[in-house]
Amino acid sequence: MNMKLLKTGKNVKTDLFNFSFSRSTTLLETSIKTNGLAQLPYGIVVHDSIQIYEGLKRYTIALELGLDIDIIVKELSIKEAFLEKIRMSSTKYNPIECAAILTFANTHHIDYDLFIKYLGINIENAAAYLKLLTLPLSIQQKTATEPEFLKVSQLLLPKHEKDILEIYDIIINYKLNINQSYELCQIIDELRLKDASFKLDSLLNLEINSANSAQEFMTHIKHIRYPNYMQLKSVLNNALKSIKSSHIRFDYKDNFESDEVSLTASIRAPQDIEKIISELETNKNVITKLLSIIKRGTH
Amino acid sequence: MSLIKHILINNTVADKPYTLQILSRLKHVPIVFFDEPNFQSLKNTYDYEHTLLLTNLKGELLKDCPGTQCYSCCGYKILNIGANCLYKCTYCILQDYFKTKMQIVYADLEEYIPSVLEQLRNNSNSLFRIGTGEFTDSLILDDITHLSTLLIDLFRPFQTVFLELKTKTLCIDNLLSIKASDNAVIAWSLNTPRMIKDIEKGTPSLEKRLAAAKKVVDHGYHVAFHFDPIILYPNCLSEYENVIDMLFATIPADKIKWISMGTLRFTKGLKNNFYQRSPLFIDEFIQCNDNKFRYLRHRRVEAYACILSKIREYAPLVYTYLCMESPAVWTEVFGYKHNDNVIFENDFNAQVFKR
Repeated sequence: MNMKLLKTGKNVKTDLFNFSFSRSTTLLETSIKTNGLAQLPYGIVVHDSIQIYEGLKRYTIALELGLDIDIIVKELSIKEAFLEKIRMSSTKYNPIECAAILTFANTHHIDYDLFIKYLGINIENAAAYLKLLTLPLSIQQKTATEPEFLKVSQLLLPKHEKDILEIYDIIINYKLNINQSYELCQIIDELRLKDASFKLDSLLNLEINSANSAQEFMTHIKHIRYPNYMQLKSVLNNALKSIKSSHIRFDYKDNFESDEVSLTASIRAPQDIEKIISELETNKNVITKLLSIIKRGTH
Repeated sequence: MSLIKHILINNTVADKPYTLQILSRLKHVPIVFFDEPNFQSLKNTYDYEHTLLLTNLKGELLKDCPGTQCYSCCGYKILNIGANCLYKCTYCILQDYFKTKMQIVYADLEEYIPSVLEQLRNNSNSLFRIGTGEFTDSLILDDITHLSTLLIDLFRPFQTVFLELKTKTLCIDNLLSIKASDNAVIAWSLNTPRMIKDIEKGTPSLEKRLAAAKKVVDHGYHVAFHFDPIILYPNCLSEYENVIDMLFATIPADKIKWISMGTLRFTKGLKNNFYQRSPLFIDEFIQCNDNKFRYLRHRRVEAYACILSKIREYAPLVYTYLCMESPAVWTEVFGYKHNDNVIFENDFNAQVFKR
């Protein structure tokens, strides 16, 4: 294969193979400032210019630092350069970068089988990845920087744009974590299946304590989705709170399938046993109430 | 039978007598023979509910109903005659379970029958309730399989056996063509007219099911009824009570061997699938101790207690039970529970075999 060295010039471009999305270059910049370029960028001739296909960030940073850079130009087609880039790269691409790579492959008629394993995704998921690029930029950003958010993004994909933005606002406003965000998407889907006219905007401006906003919001939305269950839980939790005790703690199985209330007792000294018996006696009515609620509900 | 548009025949059962009998009743229906390895490619073309697949049984013909210890199971035995159903009840999981829509009939089942009979003879002190309606509707293909009469005659000599044929259909001609057997129980699934219309689309109406049941009773058979799945929706309990009024206005209580009740339930894997199926299923389900999703316990208890109370008005002695319910729910509905499944099975058998 023919290769030649080329000095930096005006006809060098970096747009064709640039799949990078939302990546920090600070470390690389420091390294180049200190040590110069450890490895030269690679390019190919496309029309009248050189397109860098490997070492894009190195090239861009070095250029900004005013360094004189050589480019190794290979005689490769766009497809060959793409495959070499993907196969040789040690970069772990984030979901949005994967989507950009798949889009590139579509544009240039490159079979997914030739490279998809290097992206760490399945061919069955390719269509879902491609759709990520239809999400608003803010959500793409979150998906790129927090790859676990992908499962939330995938639930957002089929929704209307207005819904997507409102759900994302809810996630940000109430600081929901990934699991809570995922659960929120599921609950909204279920509420919509039950009542297509269910509105999200009522969820956006709730008066919620900012310190526990995520938990409070999730309790609120669950009350909408599971009114009977949440009411039952709320009554039971209030009953538990009304227990006056320093040595005993009660708990119940929260699917209400068991007739039992479990008891944990803390014993630090033998005399605690008497206190526990006394506390059990004091709280007898609460225990009776707990068992009754579990069996009969709140009716 | 015009409902079958294609027949796929596994070459391993092509010359079985049962295959030939079925084919004799399906003249003019196109047939495709296949070897097992080619099945997947054929499936792409023929995977429709109107395709009849005649193939060999893999596994046992007679097996235990897949119950769990924590939710009471009555010790029912399943006779695995085939799989899938022509009806498309919204709550049905058969097509998901079997990964095909075709009507599967095990054409070599006659080869397994001697071992079943031997099992019954070797356990002549045990009582068996055997049914064919777990993986298919027992009678939906009876016009072409004639399996009902074959099985009734097969089990007729066994006084330790009840054979239950469970259906929603009106396919009773074959049943009426032979002498009724004391140990054959023809069972219908019942639901409210609203649910039959909404989520049992294409199935016979409640009136027609009860009329069919009346005919088999008049012919001399015992019958059974299954309120399963009970679906909870506003005002549902008065509608279920109306169904019971209709049931006992049509069928004499002493001809009913048993009645079961079971509310809607589904596995975790099917949760999202279920929610898509009907707004009725977007309810408050909780994951129970057997990992299945069910309505909240007190709502189930309320439904069972209401339906049971109505049944008891007409038929205090008919054995009525809950399918796959917890001992806690049993206690609240009936005032007692079975400490384990063997006790449940023995109690069930003691009640139904003595009558």
